[in-house]
Amino acid sequence: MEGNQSFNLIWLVLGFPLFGFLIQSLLGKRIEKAFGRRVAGFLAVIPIVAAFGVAVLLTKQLAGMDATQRAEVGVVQTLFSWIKIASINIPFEVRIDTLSMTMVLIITGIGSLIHLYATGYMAEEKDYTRFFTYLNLFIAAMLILVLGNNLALLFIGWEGVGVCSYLLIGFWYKDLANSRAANKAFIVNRIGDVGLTVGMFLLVVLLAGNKDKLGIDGASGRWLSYDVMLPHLGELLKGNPGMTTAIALCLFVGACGKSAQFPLYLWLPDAMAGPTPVSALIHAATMVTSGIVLLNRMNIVFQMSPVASAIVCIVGAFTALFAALIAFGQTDIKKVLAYSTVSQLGFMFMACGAGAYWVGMFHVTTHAFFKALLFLGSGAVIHAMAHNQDMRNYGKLFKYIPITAVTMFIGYFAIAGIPGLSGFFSKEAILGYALANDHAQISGVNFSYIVGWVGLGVAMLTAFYMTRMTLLTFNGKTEQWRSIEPHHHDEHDHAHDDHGHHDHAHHAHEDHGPDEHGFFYTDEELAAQPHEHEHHHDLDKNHTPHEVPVSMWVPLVVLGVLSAGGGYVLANNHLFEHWLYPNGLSVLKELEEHPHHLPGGLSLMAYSIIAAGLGIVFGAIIYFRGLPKKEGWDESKWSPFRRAARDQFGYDNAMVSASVDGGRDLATFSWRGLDATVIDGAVNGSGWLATGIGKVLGWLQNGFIRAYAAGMLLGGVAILGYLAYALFTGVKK
Amino acid sequence: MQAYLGILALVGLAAVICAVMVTLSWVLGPKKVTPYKSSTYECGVAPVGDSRERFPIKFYLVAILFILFDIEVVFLWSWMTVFKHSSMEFMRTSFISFLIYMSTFILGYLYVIRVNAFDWDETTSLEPAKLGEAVQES
Amino acid sequence: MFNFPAPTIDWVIIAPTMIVSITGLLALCLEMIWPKRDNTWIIGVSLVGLIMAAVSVVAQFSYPEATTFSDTVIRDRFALVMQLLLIVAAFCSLLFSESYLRDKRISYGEFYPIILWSLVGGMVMVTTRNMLLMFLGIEILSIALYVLAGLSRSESKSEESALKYFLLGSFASGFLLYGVALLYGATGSLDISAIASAWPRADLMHQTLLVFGFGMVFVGLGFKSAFVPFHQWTPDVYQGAPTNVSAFMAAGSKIGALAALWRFLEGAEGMKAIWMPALTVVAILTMTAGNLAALVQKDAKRVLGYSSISHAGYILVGILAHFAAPDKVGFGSLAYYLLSYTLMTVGAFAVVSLGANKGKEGTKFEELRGLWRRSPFAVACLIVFVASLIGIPLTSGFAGKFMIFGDALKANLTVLAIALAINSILSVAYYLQMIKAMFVDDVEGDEVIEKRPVSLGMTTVCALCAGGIVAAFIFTPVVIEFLVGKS
Repeated sequence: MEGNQSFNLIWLVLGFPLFGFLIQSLLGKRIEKAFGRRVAGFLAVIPIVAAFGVAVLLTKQLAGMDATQRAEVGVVQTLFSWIKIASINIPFEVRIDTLSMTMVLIITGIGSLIHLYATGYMAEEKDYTRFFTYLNLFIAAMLILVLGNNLALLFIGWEGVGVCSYLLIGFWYKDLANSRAANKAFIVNRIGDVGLTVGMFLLVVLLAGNKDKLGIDGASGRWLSYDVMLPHLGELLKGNPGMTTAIALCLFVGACGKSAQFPLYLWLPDAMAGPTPVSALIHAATMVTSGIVLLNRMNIVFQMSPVASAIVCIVGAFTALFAALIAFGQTDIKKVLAYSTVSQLGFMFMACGAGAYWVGMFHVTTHAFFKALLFLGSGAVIHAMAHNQDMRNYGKLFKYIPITAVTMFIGYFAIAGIPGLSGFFSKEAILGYALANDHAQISGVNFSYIVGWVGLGVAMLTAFYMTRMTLLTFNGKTEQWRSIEPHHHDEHDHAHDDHGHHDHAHHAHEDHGPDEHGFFYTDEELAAQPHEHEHHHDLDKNHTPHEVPVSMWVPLVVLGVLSAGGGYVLANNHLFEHWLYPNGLSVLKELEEHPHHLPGGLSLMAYSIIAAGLGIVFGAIIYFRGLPKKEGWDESKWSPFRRAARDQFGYDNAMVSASVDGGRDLATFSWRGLDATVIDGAVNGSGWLATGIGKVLGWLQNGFIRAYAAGMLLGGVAILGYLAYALFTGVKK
Repeated sequence: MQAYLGILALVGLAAVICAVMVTLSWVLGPKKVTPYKSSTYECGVAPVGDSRERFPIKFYLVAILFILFDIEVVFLWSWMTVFKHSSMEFMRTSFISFLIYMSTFILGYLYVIRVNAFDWDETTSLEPAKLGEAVQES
Repeated sequence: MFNFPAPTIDWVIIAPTMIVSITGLLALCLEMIWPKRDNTWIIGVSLVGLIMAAVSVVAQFSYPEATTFSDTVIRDRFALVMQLLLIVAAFCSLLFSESYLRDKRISYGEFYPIILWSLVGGMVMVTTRNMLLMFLGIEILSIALYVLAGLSRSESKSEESALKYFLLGSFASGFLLYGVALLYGATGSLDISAIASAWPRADLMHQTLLVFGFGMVFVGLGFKSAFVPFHQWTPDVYQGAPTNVSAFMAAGSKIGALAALWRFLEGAEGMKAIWMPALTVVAILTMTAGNLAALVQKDAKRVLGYSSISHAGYILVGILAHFAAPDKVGFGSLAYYLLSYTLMTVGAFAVVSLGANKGKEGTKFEELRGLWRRSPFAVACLIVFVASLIGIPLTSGFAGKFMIFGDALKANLTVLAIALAINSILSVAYYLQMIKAMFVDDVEGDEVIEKRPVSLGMTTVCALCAGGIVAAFIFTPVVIEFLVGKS
């Protein structure tokens, strides 16, 4: 497979975004100055579109290959030898197979749409080219993540997207809240990364110990590459069940971090602080799916470990449920979408846990369509509403921004699971596999079955809260912003704009006072913070929303079409399944696709439709007439459940205090108790010693040439003397 | 070693005789210090000013330049000696080599003239343009 | 009467040297045509010349080994690589020179030809095994540097530096020349390889001559490479000389001297048992003394001076590792380390040179305070350089040190390996002081820090060096393969 000429073009796919990144970072400002924004933005979009074009060509070519060959073996292209130590050889190589190309298409395809959208959305931004610099770099890193032919390259991409996401969340870095959100995302992701690295190391240990036994070609040393490692891994893991579960769980922790699953989902909602295109690209369509990609890539490990699979299922289902509940308490339109993303990611993990890896990818794909659509749509709404994100200020927007509204409705129906739209197919498949199979077991309990029913419930909740969001925005009786009073507006200043703070995160921090730990800024610096977003005109009662520019609604329409039809096309004739896993899985060959007996004698499809329908109907009943009184501005009138949901049931709060306060206590202890006495003592002691000697040497360094010359002479004499001594005492030859 | 002993003895003897003569005259000679005697001897003329007088570095510069170009002649001579008795091939090569050598010297000489190293009244300072300051046209 | 054979001349081999010399002449002509005017053209010509020279070096990588000028000039991979490194050092030093020299009010156009000719000296040194030619190279290199060190004539520090360097350098040259004479006396040849063949069949007297000759040569070269105890000039001279000159001195002069030392050690490999212990002690002393003395310095350039001493020690470890086990350890680590050393040292000096203002040097720690605000990009790059000098991963300094460490272990020089590791830790402190001065300590009182525009050359050199350091780390095997060829 080495050096298959016809796939050389893959380097272009990687190279274009990198090239775009270089152009933007090195010349962006100049281009912007010389030729204007449009050209600079255009230059950022072109590489991604070009990469997409090349990716389409390559995918076509790949589709022409034998089904087993293209999915299970793939094509490996090596660029150069990267790490070469002893018997390990990790070349910089990419693997072109159905999984990686699917992701490449999603990344570059959705990526180019979002780039296009961003040229419009960010048009008034000061740091225009910085934004596209990060965005292009992100695409490049994400491509490395999915294309890399070994875990080391995956890790580079993994960290690369982490950094880019950090940079983009904190894009408006002068705003304290954004910096905090960025820090949070970065730190929480680090926890996941620890898992991933440990998993990788365990895997290396396992492979290194057994590579001769399994006949992995040791000579070339490429035993960490997927194409060498994966075919043998199953056999190897069979003998080490404990190790298998450990590796699986470690990898899963990594996946949890990137894909925002329960203990580590914290960062994703806060990440909405970034510009909306970023939310769409990174936090909905691409980066958060890297956990699923990892699970798919390493599926053999999870196939070999029912326990780990069960945990994946449970965590996925719990996250789906938990996030769906939280979504009810959100009033910020992007927050609702953020939690729905977390929830949908939970669905994907449920599928992977149940052993239906292709379904996970399937949902990744459809979700990429409709969630990117919803986010971009919400961006359009926010754009139209003078950067106000609170849904309580919306209402009756349909007539002002019809294109956005129609496309958003398509996305809403897709995620709610209306039959025929893309979300329906993938979600139904997830539930079907979960209910029908018993792979995910811990001591005989079939968790995947339980999880399937939970999923069904969550599907209903999803339809419900998405109805709430959509109707509050586009329907209702009144145009809520007409009733904004000046003083009223001030009170809710924090919910006011795209860069602003989010309600509950704000509350969570307020409990600690304004940055009492001095984590980020000193008080003086805080006071001196310039109020950056003053240049936005505020939303007031005389505001008239306008439809967004062409560059912004074209992506919406394209995504709308994909969200509507994508699911059917891919599900038809098992197209997607056969594309990814033509021969089924290596271990769990006998996966059932549909459950045979469900209580009540109804088929799963009926159940799904009922769930979606119930959700929509309930939602419509409550919200069709607009904002209910008891969900209004006065949050003390909210129901206890809603208030709890708003505060993420106290989870975020608890985590923040535990980590910040606990961390501070630990740090204080290690500072006072350990560092100041034990370590400082040792360090200072040796420091004094070293400095003392340094002083003596400094004294020798008195600046007189005669002294230096004498030193040289003495040194020379000493050396010559020693040489003579050595020669004459016969230490020779 | 034996053969050189005589020379060594001669050197030693000469040194001893010199030392003895100087020391004896210093010890035995009468010392009468008068202001006139202890003043600086300057060819019979009464001394003017301090002997540690500063004089223009140009003297030094010209001396150095003289030495540089003087060396050239030394090389020229030895090269010539070999040149005229050599094979044609060697003549050609060495002539070209020497031509290159001479031309660098001439370049150096031009440089010396150009930067006014022989010009006694020159004041050295840099153009403002070189110091990164805006040149003010007045 | 005289029947000297006419030497055959292979112009390709000496092409790089020729290109650089002629570039220097051209630059001088430009200065003569428009004396005391803008230096832009001179710089342009010099940089283009250097690039051409570099190309002509790289182009020869695929050529077979050869000699010319009656075996005095040689072309092998080592010579080519060292030439390339020298050119890189000069190129980077030239890039930031103009803005610095302007800030120091010493923007003489002659600077450029002189530094080019200094480079020629270095290139001559590394392309020969002939001791006399090597001496000639050293002198060309050094005399040019003596002049450059005193370039800032109005500063007594600079004058002192030039004089100090000149006097001690002449002293060292004396050693070197004496050593060469002894070696010539023992072998009857000026070629270094004659030492290797003469040693096994030498009687005690000739052996004495050879050993003493070698020892003298080592003293001479040790001075240029700044080994302890011949190092004391280094901080004084680096501090006094204009910063761009210090940069070239630290990188170029050292590469030349170490390459020459390598050649001499090749010749003297037969008497390894005799010199190895002495050189081991020198290496340990050099690393340690450099680092310890740096701890109490208050001037960034002095710190870099001491740091260059300790780095010379690290490099000597690499060299010794090769000669202790020649079949296991090649010159890959040495070449790689020298490359990374060049980039980080020149880069660091470049950033430190930003302290210069209105004819003043301004490199004391307290004068560097708040430099971060004045030129954020450059100082950010300094972090990369310092990380590399310390040897923190993600920089080539780490990879280089790691390889030398590995080489030392491979060659069973455990003591040296341990000394190297300990010294790496020691060095962290004083580098951090430098960073601290620029970042953390703020200007006291009412002094306002203005963001001064940084010249394009400075930005380029920072970006080049920092980028090079990181890239060289990431592509370590690729870089080594480029330098030493496929093994």
